[in-house]
Amino acid sequence: MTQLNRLSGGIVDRTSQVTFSFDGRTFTGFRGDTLASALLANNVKLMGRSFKYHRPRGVIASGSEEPNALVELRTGAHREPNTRATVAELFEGLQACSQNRWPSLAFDAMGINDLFSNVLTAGFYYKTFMWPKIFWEKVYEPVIRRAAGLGTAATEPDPDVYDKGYLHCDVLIVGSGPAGLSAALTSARSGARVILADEDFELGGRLNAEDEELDRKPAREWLARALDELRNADNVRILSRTTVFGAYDHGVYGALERVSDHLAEPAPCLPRQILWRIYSKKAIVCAGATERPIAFENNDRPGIMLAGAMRAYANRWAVAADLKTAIFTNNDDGHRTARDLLRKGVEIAAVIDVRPEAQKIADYELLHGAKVVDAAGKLGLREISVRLSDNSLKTISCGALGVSGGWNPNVSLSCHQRGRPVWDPSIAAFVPGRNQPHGMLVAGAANGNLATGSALAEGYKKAADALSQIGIEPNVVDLPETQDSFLGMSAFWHTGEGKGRAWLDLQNDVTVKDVKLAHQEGFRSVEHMKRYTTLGMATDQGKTANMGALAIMAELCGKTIPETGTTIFRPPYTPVAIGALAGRSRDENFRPTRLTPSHWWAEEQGAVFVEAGSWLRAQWFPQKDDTHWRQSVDREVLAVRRSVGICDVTTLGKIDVQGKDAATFLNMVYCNGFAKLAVGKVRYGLMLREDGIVMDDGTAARFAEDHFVVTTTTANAVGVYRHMEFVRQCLRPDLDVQLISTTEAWAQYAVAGPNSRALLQKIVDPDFDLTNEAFPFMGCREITVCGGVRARLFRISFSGELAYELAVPTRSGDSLMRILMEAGKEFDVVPYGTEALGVLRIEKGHVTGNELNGQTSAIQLGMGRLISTKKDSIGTVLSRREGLSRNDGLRLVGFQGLEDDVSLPAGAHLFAAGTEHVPANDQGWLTSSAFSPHLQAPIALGFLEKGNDRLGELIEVANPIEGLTVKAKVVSPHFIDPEGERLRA
Amino acid sequence: MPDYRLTPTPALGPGKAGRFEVDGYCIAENTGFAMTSISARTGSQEIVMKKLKAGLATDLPSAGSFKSNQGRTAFWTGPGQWMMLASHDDHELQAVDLAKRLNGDASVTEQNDGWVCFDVTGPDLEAVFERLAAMDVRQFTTGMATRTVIERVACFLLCMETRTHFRVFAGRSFAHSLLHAVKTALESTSALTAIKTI
Repeated sequence: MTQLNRLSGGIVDRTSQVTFSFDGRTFTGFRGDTLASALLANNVKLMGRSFKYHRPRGVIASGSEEPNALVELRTGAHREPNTRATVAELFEGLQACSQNRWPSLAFDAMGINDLFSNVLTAGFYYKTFMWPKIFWEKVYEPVIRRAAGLGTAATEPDPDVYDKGYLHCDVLIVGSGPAGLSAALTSARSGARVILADEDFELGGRLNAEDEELDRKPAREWLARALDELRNADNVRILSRTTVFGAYDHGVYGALERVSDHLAEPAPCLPRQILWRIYSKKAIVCAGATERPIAFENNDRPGIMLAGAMRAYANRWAVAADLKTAIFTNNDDGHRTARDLLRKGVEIAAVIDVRPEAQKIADYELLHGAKVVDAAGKLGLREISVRLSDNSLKTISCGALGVSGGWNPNVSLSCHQRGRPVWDPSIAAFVPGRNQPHGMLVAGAANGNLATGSALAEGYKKAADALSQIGIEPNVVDLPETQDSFLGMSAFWHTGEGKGRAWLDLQNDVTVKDVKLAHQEGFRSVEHMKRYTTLGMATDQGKTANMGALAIMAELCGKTIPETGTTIFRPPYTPVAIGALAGRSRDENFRPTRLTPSHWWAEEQGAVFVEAGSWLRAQWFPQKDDTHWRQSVDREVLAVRRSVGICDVTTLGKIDVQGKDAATFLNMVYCNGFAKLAVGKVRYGLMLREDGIVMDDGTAARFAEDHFVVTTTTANAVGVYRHMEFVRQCLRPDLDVQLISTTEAWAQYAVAGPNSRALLQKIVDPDFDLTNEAFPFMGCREITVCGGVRARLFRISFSGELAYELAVPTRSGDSLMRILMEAGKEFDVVPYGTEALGVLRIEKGHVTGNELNGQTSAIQLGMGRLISTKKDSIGTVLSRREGLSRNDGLRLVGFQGLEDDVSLPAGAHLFAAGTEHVPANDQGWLTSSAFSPHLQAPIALGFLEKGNDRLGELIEVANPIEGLTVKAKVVSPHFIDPEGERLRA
Repeated sequence: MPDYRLTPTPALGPGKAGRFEVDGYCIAENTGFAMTSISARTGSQEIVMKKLKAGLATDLPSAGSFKSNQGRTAFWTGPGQWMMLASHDDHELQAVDLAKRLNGDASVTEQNDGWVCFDVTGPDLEAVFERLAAMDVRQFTTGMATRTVIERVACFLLCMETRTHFRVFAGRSFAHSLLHAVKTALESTSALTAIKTI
């Protein structure tokens, strides 16, 4: 199809023709087009359907503020909905589809909604679908969501690659229009590190959209020279296609670079988008301004556009929305559009200017003191009705109408930290206030200086100010001579004529009537109005809508617009894909995982892995004939109890504690005593928080008078280390103690079971005597294994069996696992995973994270006597609080199920037999549960009121979620070897 | 009794290639270091510095840097704290040696196997690492060392050669996750470079 509306000039590359499709129809455009400009060039005005009423809509803007022309780009898993056609760069083979319509864009069955617009006003849903209540979630909301909405997201996982990164600069300049360029040139020539970011793929801002001169030559010549200079400067980084979407604390800005959205076939590893965090010493926001429409009846007809956008399409893309166009304006800018279109050969049907004193600047018919009051042409504008100054009505035939109601500075970034803009009556718009984010300056149109000359001058001045503030001498820059024109605006928001709907927010289908209704029903605060009408929500955040609505609400309330105020501006300025926020963090790399030294060996054995903290740990090791995980776990548990098993416990935190005051330090962080722990011995330690609640448990092994190695639970390793560093640095800086993690330096294996000593004797070098007498329970030694490899041996037991933990330098960890398994063959050694580890410790009554859940005290755990009364330590005093130490409080006890095949679910609550299962009768809960292969019965640990005094009692274990109640017997938490004979064997 | 002998395994696992190359960039696991952390005891920082200067001709560097001499490299890790690197083959027992030399003036801890080390080389590592670490990588020049975070993995980063050779240390268990992060960044850098030259 030929490009009927393509004009002469522009900066599209006419030598590079691009073929694309829209709703299955094939068109051509040029490199440098956007989807919107290319569609307009092909005389396609209808580009979408509205959110609620499914009204036919065309493009109204030429930039990211576009509310109407939202399309789905690409197909399949790559499909992206709600993309603004105005910022979608055209590429060969681009496939675009309209959205929110059925069966077609031209005939949308859901357009029937429009016939019921009288009842579908703001607040309709809230008022109407109130009864019956249950219907809201099940019926009403799903139906409404299907009927309304925007595009449809792809349901497959996003196959695109996203990235993120960090940039640093002296000066960040947001926007490459006249102000941004002069700020960038000033900063660059002064030697500052500069980042110049612009959301467009073509740098220059409005200089590309205007037909104007700088230094008496076409502005694009100056623009080209400026960009050349900046591109060749080593201290300047230019980020085109990059939207600075948020201003955060301390000069940090969020920016989204669209790297390959404009490429037909990006390379496989090429990120689609990069999310940048930009650290700046100073930021100069030159984000320009957004033109605002004027509301009148049926002002949403396809073909009605912002006049500035119309001018941009003509001058930059050489496209006319229609070859016969009218202009409706309240300022001189509308006349510039008429003049530029005339120069391009477009017929100007009329310029309708609300100002009685308006003067024309070119050869067109001017209707001054007039206003457009209606528009006709459902799928494309056909004619407009104009109320003339003599109050007569005139119908004007035209295919497009450019509307200019003035310009709103883009203040969003300057308000992201709850800054409030202030009213500038000279342009009847809000400009940035004084409370901008730290380090931010605003220049150009974004600061209300709408003319090119004043924007250039302010860009220079703000850059000079910024540079001076960070100690860089600003270089003087010669600014080009300009031919500034003045806006000459007369504030005019809506025509107020006719019974039909005059649209304010085209994206959310909010009309003047809706704002009036909000006012009538008491939703008069702008924040209430926004939420009641949905004005200013969704992808465009009301960039073209908010001011009109504020003006109308101000009129209704009898207030000025600044008294009425604005809603809060929040990031992101334009939509950011969730994929970009995730960056590389997705799928199995969603977060880093840590692998144990025996990981590869365990993989070879077919281990099932589980995440513990960030570690991947073997959960159990299935054997060939196992049909259920319980078989694997039971076998591993029984093998440990019977002979010997090996478990990788490298994941337990290891903290090296050294210094002259190391023992004093540990005495402070543990509630039990460590000062007298002998060298070569290990002691169990309980760590309390300041409030007396148990934080973590572990062991501390003393290798020298001034050297301990502390172990922590896997999940709490980082937290405990952080806590200890806090104590060292902040609470007791007087102590000579140094901490460092050695968790990863040593591969550590639990070797547990009656034959553990015999197994170890096969690999420990013969110099070291492992007999019970020479190396008793709770001993620790530095030894050598396998012919001289340095190792650490701890005689500690989590399983309740005779057990050791053997540590070797991590590089030898994989090899040690293989050797232990080889050497242990004669004992039928088994590897055991975390599940068996859990069963073994529950059988022994040892606590872990389930019990140390941040709510329990030492007394409740049955460890009250561990809290030393001979010294002070963190948490000791508050652990004696009445609520934590009362005799009738919760106590950790064991539970044994009465039926072998009914488990006792962890988390279930406990009730005395025969009592009603209501919160008032709740007497505790189960923390850990397992099937004990040793006892051949379900067992559990849990907290029970006065638990110590209730051994032998039958109690009801209730799981209301699953409707399960079982009986269990209260028993000692030590299901096996309560006297500890096995581990001391 | 069988003669059991332990064999070392790289951080990336047995038999795993510790080297990855793409378009002039290379990431290679460096398993050759003995590592020892040194933390001066209270009031002993000057003594520690003097002893190591006298005994090993090694200057302990100031914040944000590293120094190398006679096969040893020390980098700053915190106030009064350094990490000392040496050849593992020659100085596996470096920690024992340093503890003896410093004789209670510093807490010395063996870190030989606590870390994975990747040497990353290529034409423009600034372009790679600006998408990995929040640090100002374009001001990171030869001799500088810093603590940073790459994809939520805590790292030490040493600039061996401005722009072209960085050395990354991270917890050994994170080796494969860190490798993935750096590999991905290398691959995307290569792709980004390609489109910028179109």
